[in-house]
Amino acid sequence: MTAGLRQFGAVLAKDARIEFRTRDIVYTMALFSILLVFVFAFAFLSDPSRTRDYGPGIVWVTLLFSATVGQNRLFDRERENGCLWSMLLAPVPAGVVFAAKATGHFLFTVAMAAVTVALIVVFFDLRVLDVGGFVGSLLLGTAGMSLVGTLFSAMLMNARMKEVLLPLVTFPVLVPVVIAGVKVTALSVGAPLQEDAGAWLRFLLGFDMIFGAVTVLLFGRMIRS
Amino acid sequence: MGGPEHGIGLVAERLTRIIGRRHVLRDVSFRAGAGEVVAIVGRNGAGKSTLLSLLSGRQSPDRGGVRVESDGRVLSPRESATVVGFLPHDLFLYPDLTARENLAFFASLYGVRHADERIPLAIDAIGLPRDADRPVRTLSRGMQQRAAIGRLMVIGARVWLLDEPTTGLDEPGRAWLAATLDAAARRGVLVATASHYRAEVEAATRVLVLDAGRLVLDVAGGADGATRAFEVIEGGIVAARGGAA
Repeated sequence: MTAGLRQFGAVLAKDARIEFRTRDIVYTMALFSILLVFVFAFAFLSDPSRTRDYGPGIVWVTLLFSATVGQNRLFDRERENGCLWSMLLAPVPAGVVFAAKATGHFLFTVAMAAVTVALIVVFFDLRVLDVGGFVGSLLLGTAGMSLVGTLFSAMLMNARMKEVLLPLVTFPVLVPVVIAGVKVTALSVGAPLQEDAGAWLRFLLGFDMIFGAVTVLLFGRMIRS
Repeated sequence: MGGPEHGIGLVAERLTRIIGRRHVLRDVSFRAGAGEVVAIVGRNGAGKSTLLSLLSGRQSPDRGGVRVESDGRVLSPRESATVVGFLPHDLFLYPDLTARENLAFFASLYGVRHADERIPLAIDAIGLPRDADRPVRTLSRGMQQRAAIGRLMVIGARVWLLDEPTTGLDEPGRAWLAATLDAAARRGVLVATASHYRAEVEAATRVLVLDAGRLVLDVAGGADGATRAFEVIEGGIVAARGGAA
């Protein structure tokens, strides 16, 4: 195993262990997402015939909000006792730390999405016709949210009112991800759109690749400054 | 005691750190070598923590630089990171992990070989065999301090930078720390420690006195060195009071 992979695994395992012990992120995300689904259910279920129209939007708004809740807590445990610096001063490339944190957030969010999206599908009686496109858009979109959110979450780690600032800086960057995600999800549930799901999926993939490269490169410099 | 050309060496060259308009550190230069125990003393705000922070790489100097050498060869930043261990006030320990898990995590980050054997040895050395499996959050400050020293042992740091390491330690804990630093220095570790306590300064092989960010005294340690250092510090306080009056 290369040093980078070993270090990546160590940071990821450490975060998973702490999360398993404290359940800070999972509980907050779960509570928030389920609450959102119930609110949407009561707000929109008056017209069940139109679930294909608003269902995809509900999926992505829930995903975006719950991902942001998780990002707010992502670096809390690194701030305490100056732990982030313990990693940055170690012979670990900053990009490895970033990749591990973003992957951890991605896995938490995907786990959460598996539950909440299933709830949405059941509550709103969404019939997923293209499972590959549906799941693919969720995975690619979540990856984009994790990359962007992890970078800004680290930057705002010590900021006052970071809970307010984080959505303000991440949402504008994530608008294209949400639009693409809604389009693919809508096509997956059979919404009558004249769009190409494949093109939107490629867009999401491109977004992830570009932001993956940029965020990994920028993280070390931004976190130190 | 070895010089910088033998074993590990640390070179600070004209280190200057400016925060706002204030020179927190101004043109501080020194060399230290393997086996030295360097006490860095000075009044509150003299620049001790900033100096250690610059030496560790946590902060970057506005002017000047830091070099880590091994057997006369200048180490790359990556190589330096593997040999420099920093223990600041905030200890660098994850509160929700146990002491043992913290040590295992850092062993993994630093690629420590035979970590399974080194970690129990370090836990014995820091005197926490019964408490190593408790979350750090539940340990007393003194125990946390010991666990943080254990981190330096496990990663095999050859330069120990300690910012007031006796904080929270009781009297036996201080004696243990003094013996630990002495043993580390005998193994060729370079120890630099910020301190306010005379006993720690007397135990050092060398004393650096900072005053308002300047290095104003660099003398051998021991009782005489400590006496001179505290005279200089006291003189600075008197001068500052006189100036203020």
